[in-house]
Amino acid sequence: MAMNGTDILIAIDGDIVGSQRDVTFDETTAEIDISSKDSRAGRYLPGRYGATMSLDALYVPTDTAYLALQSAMRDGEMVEVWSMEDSVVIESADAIVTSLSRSGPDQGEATVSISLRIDGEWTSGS
Amino acid sequence: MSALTAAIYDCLAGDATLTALLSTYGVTPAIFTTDPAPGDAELPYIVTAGEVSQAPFDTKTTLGRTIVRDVRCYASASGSGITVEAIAERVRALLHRQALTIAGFAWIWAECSGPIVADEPDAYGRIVSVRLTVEET
Repeated sequence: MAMNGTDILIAIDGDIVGSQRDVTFDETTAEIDISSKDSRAGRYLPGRYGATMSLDALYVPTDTAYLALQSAMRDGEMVEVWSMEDSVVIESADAIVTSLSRSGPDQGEATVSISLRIDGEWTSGS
Repeated sequence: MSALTAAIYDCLAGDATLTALLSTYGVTPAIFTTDPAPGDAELPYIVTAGEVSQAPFDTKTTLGRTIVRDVRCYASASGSGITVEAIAERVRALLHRQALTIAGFAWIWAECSGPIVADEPDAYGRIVSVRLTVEET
């Protein structure tokens, strides 16, 4: 059964990010081209695996998880990310914060957008 | 009276400059949160009853709403719009970009449009529409 994206939440160092609006998980595998003159068909091997994620939320200056992300960004430290579905931690990983932007439009909601790169890979549970 | 209605009423009724421009109904300023105003109400008065619209302002972890409410100002059709315009401008000054204290909600922002003309056969009218975004606490 499909699920409501509302039920997918992110926690940072054990604290759920407040006022989350959207999250996107990306996983990639580089292609290693081993094609040769022996065959017209292209041949490939799986190469480097990578995972990133991005998060959009309202800007809540006192939010513990946001402050942890901001500190990690500024201090060059890792955070622990939990991916949660229906309040259950499904996967976890260490990550670095690769970008953090804050937007404050006039008479509009202040928002934050955060990108993270996973160190290693996602593992099941916390 | 809902918390949102109470907040707007308290803001308007608590301003001496505005209430000095209005009549009284009983012992309170003539600001009505029901529509129509009581039949024995005397001009000038204000009617602000219910929302024109309410839309969710939710996130995955919070609930909120954006409401649009009309504040309708009326004064006698005396040949001059000075009084009704003064009332409407004061309403706008009190609500536009001004933080409200709302029980159970955190104010995020407020924005007014108008005043616009809404004259009636026996009264001059002006409408100030306030767009208010709040988050449940």
